[in-house]
Amino acid sequence: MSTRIVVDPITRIEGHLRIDVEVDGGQVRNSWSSGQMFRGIEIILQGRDPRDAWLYTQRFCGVCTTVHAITSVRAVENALGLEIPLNAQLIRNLILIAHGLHDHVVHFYHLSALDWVDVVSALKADPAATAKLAEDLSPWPGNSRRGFEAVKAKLEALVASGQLGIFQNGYWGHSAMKLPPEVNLLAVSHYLQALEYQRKANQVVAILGSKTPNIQNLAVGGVANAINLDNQATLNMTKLYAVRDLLAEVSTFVHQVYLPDVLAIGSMYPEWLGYGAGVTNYLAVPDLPLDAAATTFDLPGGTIVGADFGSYKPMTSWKDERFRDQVVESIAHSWYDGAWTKHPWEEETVPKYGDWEDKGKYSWIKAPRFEGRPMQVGPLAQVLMGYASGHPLFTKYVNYALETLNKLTGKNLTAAVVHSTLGRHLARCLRTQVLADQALDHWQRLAENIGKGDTDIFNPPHFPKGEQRGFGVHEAPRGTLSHWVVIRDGKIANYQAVVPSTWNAGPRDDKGQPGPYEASLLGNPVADTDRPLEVVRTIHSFDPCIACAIHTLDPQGNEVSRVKAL
Amino acid sequence: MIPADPLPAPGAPRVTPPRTAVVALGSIVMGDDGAGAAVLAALEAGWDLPRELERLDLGTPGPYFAEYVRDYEQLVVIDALRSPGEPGEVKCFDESTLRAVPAGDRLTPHVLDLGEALARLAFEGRAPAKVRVVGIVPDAVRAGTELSASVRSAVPRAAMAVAGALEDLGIEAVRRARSEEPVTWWSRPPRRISPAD
Repeated sequence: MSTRIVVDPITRIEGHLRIDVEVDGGQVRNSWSSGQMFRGIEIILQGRDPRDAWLYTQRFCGVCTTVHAITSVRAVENALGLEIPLNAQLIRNLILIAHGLHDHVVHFYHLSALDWVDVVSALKADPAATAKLAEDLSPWPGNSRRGFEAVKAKLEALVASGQLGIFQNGYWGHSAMKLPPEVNLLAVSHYLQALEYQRKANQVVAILGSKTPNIQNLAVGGVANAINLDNQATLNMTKLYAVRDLLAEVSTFVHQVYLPDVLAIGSMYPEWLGYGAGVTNYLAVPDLPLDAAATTFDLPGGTIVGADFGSYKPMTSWKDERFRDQVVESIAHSWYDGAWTKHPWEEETVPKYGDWEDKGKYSWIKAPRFEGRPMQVGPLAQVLMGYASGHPLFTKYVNYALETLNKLTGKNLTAAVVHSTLGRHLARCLRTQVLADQALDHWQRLAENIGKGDTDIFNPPHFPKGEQRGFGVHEAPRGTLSHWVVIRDGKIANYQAVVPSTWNAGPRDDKGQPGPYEASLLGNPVADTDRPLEVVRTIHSFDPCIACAIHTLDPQGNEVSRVKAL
Repeated sequence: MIPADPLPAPGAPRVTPPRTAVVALGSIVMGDDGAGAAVLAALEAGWDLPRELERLDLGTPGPYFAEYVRDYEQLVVIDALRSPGEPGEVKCFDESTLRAVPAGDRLTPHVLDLGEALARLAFEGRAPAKVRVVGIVPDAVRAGTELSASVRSAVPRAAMAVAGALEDLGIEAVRRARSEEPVTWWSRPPRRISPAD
């Protein structure tokens, strides 16, 4: 007899995601991923000025505001064939890097570490032993015995108060929790320190973007950051150095805390390198352009099919015809009128809500496909493109991680282990290492270009009569993001956003192929169907955030698990 | 955003008023969900407020809420409410209500749980001493940049309630003789451009 478990809602970020799994013999046999609220924001954009679109698209989601803003201006620029000045590219890049650093650190420490870290167990830790362990792992100066004592005392006070507060809904004492008390105390201490460092990354977004959430410095054609080194009100050396100092501090944290933590925690859960692969077709788009015309990029894009590094096909341009032509979305199992599979430029959004039917329609999310295949997107896809293309930074960090994991586990792991639940956490961490190095490099490029006397930030757009079609891409923290726009006589005629969590969280398509979340759960162990921690681990490894696909207004609050026996 | 001066030592005489922020939550592209931003705009148009009073349009920050408010000693949060009631009804409550709400029951849709956010700040030692919430019961939360009629008519009342909450927290809010036009750019109709050949 199999048991059906519903985990609803599953995210700690805004957005209402429901996961249904059938468990038999302690393993997941079938699964469904469902977005539970219709959003339909594309409708708002119809008839508007394409130069205004980014102000609305960045309100898709309150967490990834920046990425939707920048992707929107890129889409309109693509439709017009409009180049932007080098300063504008580099300022946008710095904002995107800072946002990525912020988002990845938050995801690991604040949104998913508690799937692996048992906070209550940290109470049994010896602070001196924790300090010794930490010193072996990293040169980070924030690992003192007194610091660990203070955190332990804070935790003791919290537990004594009877209100676990932030740690309320954890799976404490679950049989799948395996870290020794000292590692748990280390992780809780770094949870608190990470709050400080993610904030520094976000300050960079605020300085360059003028505000966060919802940056204000964009324009179709460039940025609105006036550059004048002699003016206090503009981007000047003082502000540039404030940005540099913040990025340097965050980079140190990322190298000396985030990486050692992921490797140490990961080495104690090696079995999770064997679960959660799911869809092993990967897609990433090139990002961080290095020139005004965007002909070379610092982050490589491309595709890999069937976990085969040899199948790597690079994507080297934002005008890539293969990408332009091969993205479609299916609504065969989504609550929209019809059963079509269409290109984003041709889509219409006509909602038609029905019941949740496991063989019929069951989600508000559409099912995107590339060359007919479901694709996994996200940091793992990005790291694989970097590794397959021989990108020096990705290669360096992947090799370092494997060497360290082999040392810690005594195993002989190869790069193939990244196709897994833990592999996604590892890849996110490695991408963060690369971004941390690139942050300082892109800052240097901007400072040098301004130093040459170039202060250009904007090329004005011109809207011809007739129709233009464009797409803008960004390799966002959760993966490939694309906005698709059709402009007619200077107004928006159609607008679609195909977001990372649509690629990953989407339902089955017209051929019945499951999406990445669904496929990743098959074969997952579930020790206790009342507390399906293992399901949560695999889904959280994707960094689920589906506010941009859907929106939450959930009157049930934090209902964690409903169990139905079939 | 960075505070100008550190927290005073306990018992030390205050020379500056407590750092205070008015925080609008909600999505301006989801109809009545955007009530918070509309109320904040009405407040700024109709009242003279101290320069030091921070006004934060935070949208739907989810788990990031705590990070944006951790430097303030007092908060007034404006949002669409999750609680039952007539559309357009304005309800006010304070931190004691927030603490009494069981974990998991969310008063507003945008902070995973305002109580949880405050608990996290308390764990960091940075919880605001005073929190006031001014909420409006929504009518229609769906894609759109306009408020429903009942919520639109409640905006002035809610702005008045926010001004009252500020006075209550020792922050001077002076009603202007004539209100300016509130800046709610998102609900303007699309502007016209003439394409060139």
